[in-house]
Amino acid sequence: MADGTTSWVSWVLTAIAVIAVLLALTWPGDARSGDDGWGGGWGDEPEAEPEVDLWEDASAGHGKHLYRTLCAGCHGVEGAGDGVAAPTMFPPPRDLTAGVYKFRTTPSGTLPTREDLLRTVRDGLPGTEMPSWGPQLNDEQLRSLVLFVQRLSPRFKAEPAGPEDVIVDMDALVVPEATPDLLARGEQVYADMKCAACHGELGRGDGEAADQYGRKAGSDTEVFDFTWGVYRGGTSPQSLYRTFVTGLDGTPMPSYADSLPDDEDRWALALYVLSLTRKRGLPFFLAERPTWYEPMAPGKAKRTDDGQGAE
Amino acid sequence: MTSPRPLIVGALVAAFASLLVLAVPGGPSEARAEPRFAVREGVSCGACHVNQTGGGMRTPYGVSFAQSDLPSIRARGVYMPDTGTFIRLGANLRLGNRTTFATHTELGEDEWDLEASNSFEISEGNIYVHVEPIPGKLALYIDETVTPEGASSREAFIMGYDLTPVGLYVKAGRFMLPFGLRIKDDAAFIRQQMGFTYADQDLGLEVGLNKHPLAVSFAFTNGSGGGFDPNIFKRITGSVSLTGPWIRGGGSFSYNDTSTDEFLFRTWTWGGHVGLRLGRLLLMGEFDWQHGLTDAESYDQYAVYGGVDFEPTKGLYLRFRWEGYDPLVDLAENHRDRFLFGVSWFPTQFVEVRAEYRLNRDIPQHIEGNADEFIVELHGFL
Repeated sequence: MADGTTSWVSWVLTAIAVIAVLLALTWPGDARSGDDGWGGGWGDEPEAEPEVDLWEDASAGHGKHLYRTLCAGCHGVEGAGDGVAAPTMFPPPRDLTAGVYKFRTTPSGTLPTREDLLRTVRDGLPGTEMPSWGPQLNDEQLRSLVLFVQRLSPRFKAEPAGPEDVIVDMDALVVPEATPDLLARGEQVYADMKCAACHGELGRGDGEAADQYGRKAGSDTEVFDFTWGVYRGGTSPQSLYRTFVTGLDGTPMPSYADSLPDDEDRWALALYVLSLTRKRGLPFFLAERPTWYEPMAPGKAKRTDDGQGAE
Repeated sequence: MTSPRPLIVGALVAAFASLLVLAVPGGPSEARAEPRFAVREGVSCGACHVNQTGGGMRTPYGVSFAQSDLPSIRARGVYMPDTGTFIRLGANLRLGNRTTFATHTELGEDEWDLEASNSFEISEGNIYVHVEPIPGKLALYIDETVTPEGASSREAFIMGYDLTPVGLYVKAGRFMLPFGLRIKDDAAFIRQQMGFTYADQDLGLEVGLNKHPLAVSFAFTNGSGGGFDPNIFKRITGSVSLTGPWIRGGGSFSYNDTSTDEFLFRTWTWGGHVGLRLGRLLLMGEFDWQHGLTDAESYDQYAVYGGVDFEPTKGLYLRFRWEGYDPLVDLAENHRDRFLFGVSWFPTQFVEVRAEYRLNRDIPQHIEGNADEFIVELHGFL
């Protein structure tokens, strides 16, 4: 009996010791900073929150796993835009190995930032087959995916883009009111910048030069029809502003960063172009369903940002 | 990111479907197949399914499609089917409730009656195992039925694929024959009456090309429905289809000789199929003709299928289908028809809810063929 009692007590003590060690190891808070995990330290003054690098938790290895399941069907296993579903898509899935992206906050000809790519993966590209993965993936997964996408092109290693390369700070943009005067000015800018040469007088994508650049010319892009009202880079004025400033790399759409330096002119043009949206003529049952894929359809935006992205 | 309208419509349909499930005993539909999505997306069956001719386990693209494009509401989280570098698993389960309505038919002085019935059913339960010892090139695939009856292999084959730049594939084992639209409704006339159901899978070899926009398949099989071949002849079945962004069309043929020293039995089957996408409308059709030859007679029969799907909002499909079947073309007044009106809804990823009303019309003597049915089905898949 005595042996049995000793054995029982030793088991209890061992269990308590194990639990104590586990608690010490898993207790919330950082013992080194004196944080007890209950909102205060042991007599220390509260310290300022250290800046957290959100990308630290992301892993390209995890991103690769996600990519193989979610992206490879269209973009291909190696990212060359040759996935099994690619041949039927227009615009075709981006060749991620080339490192050329349309939707950026960086200058024309440069790579997008990680945040630009994150925006595209999270919000998708309206009017294309690129879905928004924001509803399903958490932040760590989205970032992991971006890290892996960057690995698919050697450009990201050779010439990485960082916050210092951003020329359009989307968060700082303030949209002016679309007054009749501003829209009239936008119409004038539209004429001065010769937008109509490609996009047409009414913005229908039927300008004189359209055939040289669009699908008819064998291009994998098309001169955009503004009357559609669904913009692949996002339908907000901010996203159009950004497109005018940074251009759409890989397409004939140039950057107007230098030729349109006046901020008010840029806004006037963005708001005027948005005003060209018209209702489509097709009956409901024959109409395509692009808006189902767009998280940022006019009047339906739910995110606080503008939904622009980098294709 | 779903706009309010689909949410409201989805909620209404969910409520409607729930009421149906609770109040009206329905049943599992046999209508299962989804070449409509291949037509909608302008891709071949092999884009979404491991099996190059469609059906069964989904590819990573198919899994991705089921999570992003298919559902009305995308629930948080993604399903990653990989259980390892080389092995993937999948599953399919259909639970339902079928009501067969009381029916009365008469012909002259003869009368037939069928009582109403209602039954819960499991119409399909399958587990898929896909082992890929050489990624992207060689696969061992098993599609195992685990319910409603005892376990049996529906398809089991070794497949080499993407073997050349033109997408050559070779498949050996037990598989469903490549013929027409692979709608998984085994009770559809074009499947059941022409003999191309999952119950008619066969043993043999299949060779094909799968390079967009062309898909070609030729199968050389026992011709005995998966059993022992009593003669030296082989069944030859082939299918060709072209797939474009909004149209898909093709043709199929099959020749089978199951004759022995005691009896003669040969069949020639051929048909054509087409699918069209017009905005939110999907139209699909197939027409098959079969000529049979036995010691006693020769006969001709045909089956036709026409379907329209309308997608008012993402993930919701209003469906209409017509099927016709004439078992003996030379004999008048023996035509059979089926009309189906239904709703198919993918509320979220990997879940489908169906409600269908089937209007069946057959010769009076065949009372079961005249009984209308109402079917509600819950379909889960991975």
